[in-house]
Amino acid sequence: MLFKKLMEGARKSTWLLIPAVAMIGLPACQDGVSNESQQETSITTSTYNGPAARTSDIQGFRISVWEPLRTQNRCGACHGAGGQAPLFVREDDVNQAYEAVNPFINRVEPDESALVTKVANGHNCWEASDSACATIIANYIQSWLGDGSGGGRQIELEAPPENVVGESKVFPDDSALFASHVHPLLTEYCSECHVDDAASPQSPYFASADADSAYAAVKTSIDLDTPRNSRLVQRLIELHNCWDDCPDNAQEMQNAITRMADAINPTPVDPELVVSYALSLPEGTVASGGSRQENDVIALYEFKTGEGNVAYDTSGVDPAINLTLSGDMGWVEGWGLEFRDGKAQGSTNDSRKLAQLIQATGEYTIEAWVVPANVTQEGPARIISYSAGTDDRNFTLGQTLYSYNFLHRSSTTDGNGEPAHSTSDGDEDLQATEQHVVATFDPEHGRRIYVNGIFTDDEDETAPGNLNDWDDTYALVLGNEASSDRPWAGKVRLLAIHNRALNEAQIVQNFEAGVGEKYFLLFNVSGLVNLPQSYIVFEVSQYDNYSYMFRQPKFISLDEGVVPSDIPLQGMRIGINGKEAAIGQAYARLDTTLNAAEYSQNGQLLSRIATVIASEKGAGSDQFFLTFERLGSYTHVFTEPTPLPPAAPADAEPRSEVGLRTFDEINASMAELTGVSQTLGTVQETYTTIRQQLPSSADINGFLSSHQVAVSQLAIEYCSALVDDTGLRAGFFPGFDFNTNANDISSATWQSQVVAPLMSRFMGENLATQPDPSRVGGELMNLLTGSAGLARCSGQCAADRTEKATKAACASLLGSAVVLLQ
Amino acid sequence: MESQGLNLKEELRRTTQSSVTGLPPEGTAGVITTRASARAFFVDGTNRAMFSFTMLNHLCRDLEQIKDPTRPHDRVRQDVARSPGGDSRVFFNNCVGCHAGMEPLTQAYAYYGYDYPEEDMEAGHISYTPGVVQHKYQINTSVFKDGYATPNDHWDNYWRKGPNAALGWDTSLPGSGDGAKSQGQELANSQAFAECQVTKAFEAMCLRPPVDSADRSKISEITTNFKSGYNMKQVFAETAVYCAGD
Repeated sequence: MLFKKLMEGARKSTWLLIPAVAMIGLPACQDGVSNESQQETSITTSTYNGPAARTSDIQGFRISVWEPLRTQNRCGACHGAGGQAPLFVREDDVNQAYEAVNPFINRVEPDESALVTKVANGHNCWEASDSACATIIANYIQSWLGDGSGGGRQIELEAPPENVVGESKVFPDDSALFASHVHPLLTEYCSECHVDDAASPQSPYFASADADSAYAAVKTSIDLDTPRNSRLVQRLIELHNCWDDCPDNAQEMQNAITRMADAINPTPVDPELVVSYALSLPEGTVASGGSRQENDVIALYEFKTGEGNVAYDTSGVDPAINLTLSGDMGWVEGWGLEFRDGKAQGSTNDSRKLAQLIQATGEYTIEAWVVPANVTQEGPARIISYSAGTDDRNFTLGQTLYSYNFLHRSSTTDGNGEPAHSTSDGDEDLQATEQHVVATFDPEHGRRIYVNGIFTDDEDETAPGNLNDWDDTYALVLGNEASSDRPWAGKVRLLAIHNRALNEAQIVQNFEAGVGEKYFLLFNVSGLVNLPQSYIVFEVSQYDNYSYMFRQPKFISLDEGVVPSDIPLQGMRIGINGKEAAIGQAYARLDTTLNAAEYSQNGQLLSRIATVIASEKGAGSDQFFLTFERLGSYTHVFTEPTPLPPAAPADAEPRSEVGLRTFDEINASMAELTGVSQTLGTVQETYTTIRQQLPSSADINGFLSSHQVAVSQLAIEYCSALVDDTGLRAGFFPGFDFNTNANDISSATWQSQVVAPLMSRFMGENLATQPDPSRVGGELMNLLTGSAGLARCSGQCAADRTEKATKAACASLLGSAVVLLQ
Repeated sequence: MESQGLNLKEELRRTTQSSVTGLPPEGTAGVITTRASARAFFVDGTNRAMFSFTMLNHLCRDLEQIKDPTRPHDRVRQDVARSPGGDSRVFFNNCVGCHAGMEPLTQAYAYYGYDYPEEDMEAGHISYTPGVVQHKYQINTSVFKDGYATPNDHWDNYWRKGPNAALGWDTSLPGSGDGAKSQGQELANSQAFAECQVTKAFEAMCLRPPVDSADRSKISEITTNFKSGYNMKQVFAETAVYCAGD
């Protein structure tokens, strides 16, 4: 088997069950992280009276493997002294036990040790899940070997099988199939929004009346290989604007896509493409997940089981607080639990170890990888709680909107853990995305919260106090309160509870170690670069239930004698199930050269950018490959379809060709028509007052009666200023004598010297669309000299009535539609 | 100016932006780098607002209309969640449609910000830090730590390919560059920009949006004229004649 080793930090596991005297002389430090403590629990084993460990490696074995496994409820029942071979937990001599265990240990890949695989395959696991026991034993061995090797662990890169890229269905160039099967549904039910000339257009415009344009837009929303995965179907399942019954509509859409897909034959990958060999996720090399600080872990949940209704505590610290799942929740692919309205709760008896072990040290850490479903839940919504109900707890990590809350019982807080310590609202430290959150308590700093390895800078305003009042009858519960009335929605992908407060370096270390199941995928490009055993390696993990994350692409050859020399690499794309992924190509613009200067035994890093690719058939079935625009001497020019010009939109309803003048237009028009300055005191004052009451849009349909009131007010001010200014009025109304009593002015004079100048100035003349001048003139004359005319006053007009009547005639025309409309 | 009723035609004086704001000439980019624009869109945030509103105001395109998730993802920054709420479908179908093309263009504003004294946002001024990426480009980097970390103000227009090629980019320009000035030229020389200005003039003069093929062909005709000289007075004149009727 071809393989190459990659150095990777060791996974640190738990010291456990060790009387203090046994720790003397043990390594005190690893990976630069202080190993200040060892776990003492109330669960003890019998005293060992045999010969001392002869070497430090044997001592490491004794501490990490032999002690936890030699109990009667584990391997000690059969494989102790006088029992069945191998006697690897014989209690009379740890040195002989060490010799017995060695043939069953894989020091390169502890996960593959026979001691682990035997149990994983069903050999007398003490838990209900074989994988849980296997994980626990693997952690023990990793802890032992990690110590012995000084902190490094080597990952083997194994040559994967050489699969050729499979067939897939590709969209035909012609839109006919789409037009006959799917397009009719889209135009009928989706065209109110998904067209570019909709009132509120929503892309993609797959409901365009033009089938070719719609076809070009719809391709990322249709999955020909698995029609049900099509976005068009999934959105209806998600209740997105169904036209009738959502399940029926989704089925109708799926049927239409299926009919279209059935008419398309699967085709091999384009022979013109420059492609690597293909492989699936399980064919990759498992990555261990990096070095985590777990010296003081007392409960650990990695959720690797992936099924069933129990989440196992794999810390190895007895008793395991295995959590029973209930309510609306489920497993997350790639490890984790998703809570909607459910919880995972341990027994109060098993949970007692938390109180005992944490009270013993007086400090602790809650460390979790979480994905809050939203930033609207509150309560606080309980993410992780060690409590009895809404009023009684030892600790709780919760969520209120954008904040994490840390409630904790101590001598300075009450039995409900209040006052709570929370991250600042304004900082919005909590986001609805995957986050590493760590809550620590120690007597010096009190409570602290770290998000993604960074202290949130929120200091605990409560004095630290002590933990003497903790109640050991509470239960550990995730996703809700023990009383089931404070649900939290989101995912927990890892939970570790430590009985020490992790320091900042340790928190950063655990953050950088990441979470979830990871693989190294080795895409064979030997034939393309003409070098033996050459691969592009990606670290790939299931990012969530719907995607994979690809990161850290490297070129590497498993032949240690190979060094690349000036090999060009351009335009790398990730393929899935026989075709290039439509969305998620982060290396399409890659332009680099594989050369000796940047190549080392760990390969040559090609990009620091990671990307996510949508899953299609699930982690077990999706097959990946790579394509290149250029690799070595092989080239393929990537061409994109020429975008179609947008189809001409349909004609809209005819719109009014008449509009309103807006506020400033009205003001400027009145000033221009009357000759009164906009800055004149009374005019400017009135305009400032009523400005917001004037029309703000030219749309005639937006006209309101309040607009008319404001227009009238402004017109009166302008006309008043006009008539009050003797110079202006003399020019505007030439020959008109404002000192003559109104009664004494003949109708003919009013007509010729007041009404006619107003109409001439304000209305314009000989326009095709304007009010009828004779009717407007008639209205004004009726206003002045009619039976109740302002200029008649039953024969007894006051001296100033001439000016007032003129102002009124002016304002009635200036404030009318002749100015307001345009 | 308003209270004094000043006549802008007579009172306005042509000058250079750098003499008013203190920006070096190479740091100016027309309306984008004015104080008012900085106050509105460079203030706080991540500078994406400047790009979004530039597209909306000057190209008449809301980002929603030009989403294209098929562009390369390599420039999507670290502060963009790839799995919002634990569901990466949201990223694939919504977020990345804008971010994939927007990020490499918004990088042009990497040296711009708006500094203001605490509690008095109006008293601030545009800040320009050539060679030093503004801190706002580096916030929330742990949301997706393997995302793009902005090193400079180099921009690329990914939308020259794919469906947004229909915006009509000027083929005589390179489609990439450094800083807001050249990025502004990229946007301003597009067909979409010219068409947007003509459409706005059309709506101002005709008091309605274009509704039929006659209106659209007129806009197209005026747009063609506009692109030879970019004279807005001429655009208003032509649209006024068209809508004046008889």
